[in-house]
Amino acid sequence: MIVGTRKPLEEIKAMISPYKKVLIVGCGTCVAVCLAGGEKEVEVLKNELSLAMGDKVSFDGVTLERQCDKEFLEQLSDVVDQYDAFLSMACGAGVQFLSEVYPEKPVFPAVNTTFMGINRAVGWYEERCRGCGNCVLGITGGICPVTMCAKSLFNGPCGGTNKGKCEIDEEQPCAWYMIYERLEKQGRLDQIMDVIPANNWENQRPRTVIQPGYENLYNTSSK
Amino acid sequence: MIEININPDVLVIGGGVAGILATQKIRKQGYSVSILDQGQGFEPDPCYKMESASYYSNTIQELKKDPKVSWLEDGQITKVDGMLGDFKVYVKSNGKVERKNFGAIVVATPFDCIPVFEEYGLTPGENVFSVNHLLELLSENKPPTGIAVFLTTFQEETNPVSFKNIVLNAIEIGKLGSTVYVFVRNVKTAAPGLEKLILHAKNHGVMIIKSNKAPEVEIKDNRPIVTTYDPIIKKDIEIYADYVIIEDKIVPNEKNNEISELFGIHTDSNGFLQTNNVRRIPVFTNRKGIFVVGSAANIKPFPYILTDAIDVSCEIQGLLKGGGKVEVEETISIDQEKCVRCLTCYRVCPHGAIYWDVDRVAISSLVCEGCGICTAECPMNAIQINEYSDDKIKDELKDILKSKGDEPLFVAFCCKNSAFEAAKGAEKQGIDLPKGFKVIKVPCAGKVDVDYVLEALVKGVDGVIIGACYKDNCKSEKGNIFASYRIAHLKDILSQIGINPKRVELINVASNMPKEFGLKLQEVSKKIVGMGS
Repeated sequence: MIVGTRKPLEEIKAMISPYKKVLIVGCGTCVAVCLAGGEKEVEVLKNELSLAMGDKVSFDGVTLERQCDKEFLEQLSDVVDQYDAFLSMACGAGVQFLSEVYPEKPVFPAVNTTFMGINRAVGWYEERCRGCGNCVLGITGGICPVTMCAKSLFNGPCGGTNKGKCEIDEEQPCAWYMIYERLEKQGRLDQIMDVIPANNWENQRPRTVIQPGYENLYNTSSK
Repeated sequence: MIEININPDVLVIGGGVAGILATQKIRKQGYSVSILDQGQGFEPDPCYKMESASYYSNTIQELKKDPKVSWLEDGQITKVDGMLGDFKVYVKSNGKVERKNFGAIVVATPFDCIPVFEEYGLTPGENVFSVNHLLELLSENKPPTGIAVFLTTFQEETNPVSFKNIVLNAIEIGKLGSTVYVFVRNVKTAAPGLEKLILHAKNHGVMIIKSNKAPEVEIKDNRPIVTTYDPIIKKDIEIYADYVIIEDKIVPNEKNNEISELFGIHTDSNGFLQTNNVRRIPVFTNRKGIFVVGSAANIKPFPYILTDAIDVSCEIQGLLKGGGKVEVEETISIDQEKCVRCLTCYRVCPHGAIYWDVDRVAISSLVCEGCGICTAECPMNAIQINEYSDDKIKDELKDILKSKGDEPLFVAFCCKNSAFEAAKGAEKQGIDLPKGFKVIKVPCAGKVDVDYVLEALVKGVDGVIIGACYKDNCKSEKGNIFASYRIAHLKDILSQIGINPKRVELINVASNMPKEFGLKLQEVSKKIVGMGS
């Protein structure tokens, strides 16, 4: 899931202070699951801002199923004219799509999109994927070197590995040490010798995915 | 109303004294019992052997003849699903895993014993052994004779169960011709009949020497020499013993942690399977339908194990009511349209009342204790307790706001188990409460949503108080802890807004503390009045 954290109140206040009527838009998917932007967080933020800004700005709140789907965003079409600005509690994708669907309205993010990760325990999330677009988990024992290695090395470890830890921090495990251990446990240590060619770091430009089966529909091929 | 099917079979875990007694009493209520031994065998716990051996063997003989008792020998629990009325327990035995269904579970794991040889720098041998070993020698009719010294632990306090066992053994070998000394830091008497027994032992020549200083043992020519300071005669004494017998320190069963995890029941700081929470006494855990008795719950003298067994059989009767179909009122519900299946509720529920029904999150109204922790944590406000829904609480707040006069308005969200009763008591007793003070009853401090407090402040309340139970006294175990986390978070939020965080305070009280409640309220309110509106 995409994990986000609420922005500090001061920053949000500064963004919306020029407006009179603001709609806070929650998102009922990833950010709701990670307790950053669901219905509860919308209510809390609404009350926080009301307390902080008094009568200067008025707020309403609504939570959509997802802000990364146009169909759900269009549910706002009837009320859009009532507001001067939107404050989106979705991830960066949701904020941008909301802005794209209603280009005449200023949209502000209330959440910092932090990473793609897992839910370790209630309220505790850890990063696991950087979306590099070239998944090597099959030969790295299910441990992502792009996310877990400080240098994002496709072929490691580097000279900074030290008794299982990374040179950047004694608390930080060396990803390639973990990969070695995992592969050894699974009896496929020979795979560590496979050289993974350098990524073409596609994520330097915006990507589009069209799932197989839909290629004909859009008369294109996935890039 | 929802119809739920209740399985009338009961699982008892542990073949020691507590397990056997619980099985006997539950059978008397008419329920079939499976008794599982996790590899320790069907034997009385050594520390109760002296007082319970015949009772134990009679009971086990009686149960062996009973066709409604199943014996699961040397089984390991690998997985537990379900809840009260329908637990599914996976037991591995002889390399095969089998699923068994039960309506209720009784955890009666026996004690483990660790002889404290190391404390005295000793290694076991012919004339240095533990109390448990002495029991074996006695049962083989090979009692040692000569001068015997019992050494209890001095590094910590011993306990009445272990001490009683030592005194009983001391009397026994005294009778068989030994001269017996018992060294102890503090004599323990807190068990039925123990004081009388100690007197009896003294009258029969057992010398119990209480000292602040741990005795030292030196082995010379294969003979243990025990030296210590005797505070009565104010002298160092030296005993040339023929043998020393070391206390077996009672510790929780090594399987307890595993059981705690498998069953989702909380442990105390020592590793027993019952928290030090007054609301759990005598046999309850944080999960309805899972009980703990005797040695699984705490170090309890033998007679108390018997009362635990009777208690648990009555509680099981009260819950299972003979089994079959029961009608349960739906007290809590999840709005499936809103639910995002984030599992927050499942993870925070202290009672294990939340489960998956295919891919839907569901709450059992039979098991739910109605604390409302889940409702306050749900990121989508998808869970509502019918009696305390968000709408009802917010309506109450609206009514209170209508009554706002000139004086500052304080709203206290009061836990029904403590602060609410204290507030009622304060009113009845005419205790001076701040003017403009209003109470909103909540099922637990853990129900109080961050949003309730913020909304109250937005709407013009001057101060908000959350009245919670004391630490280790929360009926929902963690409700007061969740409340304290949220108050800390709220204070942060208020500071950032520029509102004095002291407008929101958590106070801990008990139901019988109306006066203290009044004083604490006055203290909080005075500060808030000083801030102005």
